[in-house]
Amino acid sequence: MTRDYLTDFELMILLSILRVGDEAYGVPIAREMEVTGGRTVVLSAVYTALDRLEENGLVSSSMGDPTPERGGRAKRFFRVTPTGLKAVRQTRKALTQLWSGLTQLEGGRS
Amino acid sequence: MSPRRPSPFAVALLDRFLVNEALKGDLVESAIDRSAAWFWHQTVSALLAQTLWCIRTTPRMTIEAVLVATAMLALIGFNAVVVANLLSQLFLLNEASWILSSGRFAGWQIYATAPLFAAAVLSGRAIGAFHQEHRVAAILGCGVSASTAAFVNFYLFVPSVPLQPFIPSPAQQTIVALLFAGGLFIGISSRSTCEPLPSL
Repeated sequence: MTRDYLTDFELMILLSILRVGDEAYGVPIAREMEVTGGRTVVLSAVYTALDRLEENGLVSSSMGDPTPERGGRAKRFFRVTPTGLKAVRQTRKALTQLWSGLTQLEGGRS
Repeated sequence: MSPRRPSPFAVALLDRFLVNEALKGDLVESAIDRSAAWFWHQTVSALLAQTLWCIRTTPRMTIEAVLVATAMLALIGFNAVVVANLLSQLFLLNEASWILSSGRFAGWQIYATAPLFAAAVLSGRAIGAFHQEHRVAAILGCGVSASTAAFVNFYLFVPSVPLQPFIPSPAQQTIVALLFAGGLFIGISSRSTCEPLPSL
């Protein structure tokens, strides 16, 4: 059964792919999540989530050429599909609505 | 500062066991500016994730593997204990009292099973060569025939068998069983029949 919402981890991955752009493969995606998202990342967990997102049609992937700094192993590039973009927008809308009007969250530093 | 090289052993583990080429490449590329502890953490996590994926996607194969492993432990471990006891009886028959007087008689029994570790690895390789549907039958056949051979030898070479105490110590049984389980695991692992996974 396909879920129609994203987990926070999936959302961070999709946003990181969008931020990295055309060169989005495992390393820059994980780095973006760590640097911008402030979250320690396990690469295998990122790939597990990416596989799930691809199964659900939210991302697509293509293999690049092998490079020497990777020991001759190819990169796998990811792109967010139109369905993925729609899911991100829906999640943002839902989260914004949940956040709005919460007086407990106003004025604090953390 | 020169780029950091990942642990060759960890890379060898990834090359041997991890199916996902892209993930392997990402880990090696990231290792340049990361610590050795980070690389090991990522390596172990990747292998665990792949194992869990394998279990989740092929539950029947997992159950079969557990049953086969249990059968191995019970049957072949038992055979090893029989052989060790047979050897100890032969020492007694041949009046090898110097072994007894050395105070390391139990140690000799354990050492005697060490060559069988190689046999366990070979058995595991042979079993791993079978199609997965025939592995249980192969294990049972191997175990039954080995048990029969061990008992025949025991009765042929050891006089008054019913009077001999056949109660090896729990520690000895455990060590021998673990030795064989390890050998069989190595043997079977050297012939992987797991289908390549889509990504992990």
